[in-house]
Amino acid sequence: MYKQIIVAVDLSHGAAGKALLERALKLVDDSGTISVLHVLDEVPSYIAAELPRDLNDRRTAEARVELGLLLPKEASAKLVSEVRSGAPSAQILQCAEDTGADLIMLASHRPGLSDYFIGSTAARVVRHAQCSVLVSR
Amino acid sequence: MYRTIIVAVALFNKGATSRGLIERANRLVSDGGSITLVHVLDDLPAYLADAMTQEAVLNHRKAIREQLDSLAATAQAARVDIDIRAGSASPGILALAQEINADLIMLASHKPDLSDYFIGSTASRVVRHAQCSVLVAR
Repeated sequence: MYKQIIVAVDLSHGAAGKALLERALKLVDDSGTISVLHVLDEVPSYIAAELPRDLNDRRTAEARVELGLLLPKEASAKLVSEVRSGAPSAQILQCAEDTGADLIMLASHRPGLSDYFIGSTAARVVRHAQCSVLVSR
Repeated sequence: MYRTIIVAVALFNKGATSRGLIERANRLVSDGGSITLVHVLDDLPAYLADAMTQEAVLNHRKAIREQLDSLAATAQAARVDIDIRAGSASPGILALAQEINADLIMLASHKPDLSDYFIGSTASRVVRHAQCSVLVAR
């Protein structure tokens, strides 16, 4: 149904990412690709100065390994893993633009009162994405 | 994949967009699941409501109903329902989702531009407040 899907996973919520990926495999065309994206939060610069310089590389490498564990082997031809750092909604949208995605999938919590004021990553992605978005709850 | 799907139907361009959504819903609905088409009629401002005859309002409703019926014929699920309600679009869709305990809301939206930074769309309001999954098709 879709040629290029972005599955945004938050590695700190492991199970949700796995379920989302299974769903994506059902939605993708036979010749399609799924990019599995994890976004690392940017460390504020005043803290970064106190941290070991290679920390960011280490975090990226760790995230890559964790993402690799999430991807089912039998569908590896269709899957690409990607790690970026920055603000999640902006990075997800950028990744969608870079790959020419036609669907973004991401998990979100059930909205409560705070979402009236702050909103979620999912809400920001929906507001600005140029392609279809599936928010899974 | 989903048991209870809501397809929000706006009936622009004679329902062509909705037809595409319904085709997609047909593939997403699980065996024995249901698809509900919902159309929300905007409330008329009071000063206009006075000027409209009751008959014109009823005719409009009837025309909507017919369009929804023809769209519903293309839906393939164990159960297909139609729901027409009045009011604002996003609260109407969200209320229906709660009433029938939907697990997926599907709706079409435009490609966002600058005005969406300020006003937002029905789709973004639905995503912000829905308790279930939402597929925004563009």
